[in-house]
Amino acid sequence: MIETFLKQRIRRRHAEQRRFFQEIFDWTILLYLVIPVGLFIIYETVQILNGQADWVQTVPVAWILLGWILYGFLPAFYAWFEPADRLFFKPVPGAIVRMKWYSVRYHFARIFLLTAGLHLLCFPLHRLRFDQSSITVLLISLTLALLQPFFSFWTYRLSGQRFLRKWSGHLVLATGRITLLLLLWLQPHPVLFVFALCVVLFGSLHVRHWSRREDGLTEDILLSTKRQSSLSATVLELNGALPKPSHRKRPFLHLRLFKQTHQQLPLITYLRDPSKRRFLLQLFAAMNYGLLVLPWIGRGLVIAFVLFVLYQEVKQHALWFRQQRFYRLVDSRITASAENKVI
Amino acid sequence: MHVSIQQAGYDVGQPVLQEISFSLHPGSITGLIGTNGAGKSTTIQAMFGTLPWVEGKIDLPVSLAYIPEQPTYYEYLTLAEHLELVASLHETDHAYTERLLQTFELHAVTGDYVSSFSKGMKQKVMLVCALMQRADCLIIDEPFVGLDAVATIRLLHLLELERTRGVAILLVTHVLDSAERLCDDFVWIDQGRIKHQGTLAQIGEASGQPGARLFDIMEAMVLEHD
Repeated sequence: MIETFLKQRIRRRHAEQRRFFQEIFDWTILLYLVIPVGLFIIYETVQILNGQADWVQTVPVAWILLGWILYGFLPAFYAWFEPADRLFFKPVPGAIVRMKWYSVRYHFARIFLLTAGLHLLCFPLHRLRFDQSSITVLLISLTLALLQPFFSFWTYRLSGQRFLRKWSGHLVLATGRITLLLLLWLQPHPVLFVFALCVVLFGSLHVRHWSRREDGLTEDILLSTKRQSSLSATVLELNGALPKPSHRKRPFLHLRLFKQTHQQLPLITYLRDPSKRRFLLQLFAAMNYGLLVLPWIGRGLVIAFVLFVLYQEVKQHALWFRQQRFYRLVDSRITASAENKVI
Repeated sequence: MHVSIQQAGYDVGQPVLQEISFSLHPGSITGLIGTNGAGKSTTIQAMFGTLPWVEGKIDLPVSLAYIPEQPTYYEYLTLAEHLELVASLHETDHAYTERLLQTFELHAVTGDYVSSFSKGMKQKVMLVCALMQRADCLIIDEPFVGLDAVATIRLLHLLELERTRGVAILLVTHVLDSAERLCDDFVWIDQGRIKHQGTLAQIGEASGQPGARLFDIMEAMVLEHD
């Protein structure tokens, strides 16, 4: 039953994310972004297979490594708990443990596949630029994909710690992760793979220890709720698809809070408008198309044009917003209160 | 069934509860009483294992059901799905569950989402979900809040039946009249510690008012404090 319940939760989560993507994607994104990028990838793959990809030698490796370093912070691990589990699962012996174990399996499989897939995209770079054998590249992919779920797990465990322990832990973890990543990419010595294997073994023991404990449920629920509601819920709330919690409305009611936020309000209201947001995405998709097909001088013009359009859009919207009666009323109250303070 | 909490709280080293010790007996109802913020719900959290820091020993049966003060449910599940979930996690009797649904007048809304119910109906769902488990120990936090008079009377009868069945019940309540009528003994908590403990007669004697009712004892305490 718990397995079925978890599957239900995962399906719900995916449906929520699908809803989010449906909200922002339309055919223009497919036309200007997905198709050109897809064609570009197919073309370059054929070039690489024919040994005609000289550009690989000029790829900025430092930027790609930076991307990988940033990626390491992204995949989130969390136990699939909800507040009501305290009531329904807590009294059942073993239910919490099973839920934790299923969460581990789900997230580890997800993060492993994601990392391995992304790293395999860098296959040509390793083969042609660093002249590494296919076996070595596959080993690097496998090692990174095995390590990433554990790093995500440790990041999750550190989230619940107190300030000093939390940030010192994050520092050690990030340093270790970045060092291992750089060494695996640039100097993949056999000792490194053995060391990575030891990290994986230690991590497995830690995960096993954590998943067998029934305490700390409150903390797990808090962290899980926070992680799950971080991105998609925020976007859906901004969009109006999800009801907003009341605190989001309060800046409009309290002068002090409004004063702090009213400078950003034009931008927030701009992004809250689905048509404006879709326009932005279409603009970026068109820019991407232009960058792919035009020579370098044209690319510069495209970027300049997009930046100009963005500036004009935000400027016009801010102007329109400041002309609204509501804004002028609150603004005059702020000005009056500031003048009173001066007096 | 014995609860012995030396120290407990939401953060390590910051005790909210201290030296709380009492026993629950099969076939008996123990009332956990005290003012707002005295530590009653925190004691339950400690017993239930959801308080972050607990030092002490809590010996409760495996078969344990809990009815929270605030209805806690899955927003995306209907009442029937909630019942199905409980039935899959515990051994339940379908006929008894049906009777409970009839008692609390929920049989017509089993296909509806619990999140769409009123506060009182949600509280009834919590009661049904807990009682259908036929647990050996029941922990009930403010069961009468939000219930109409008919449901309250039916709940009192059900609790009597559970006591007869040999269930150990811990009842947290502010409704002193109902507590006095139902409970065999009391644990009175004040500022995270036990103030008085025992039967009504023992509490009356300990507070210097032998034979007094709970309300009178509390009233005297309030007047003395003011």
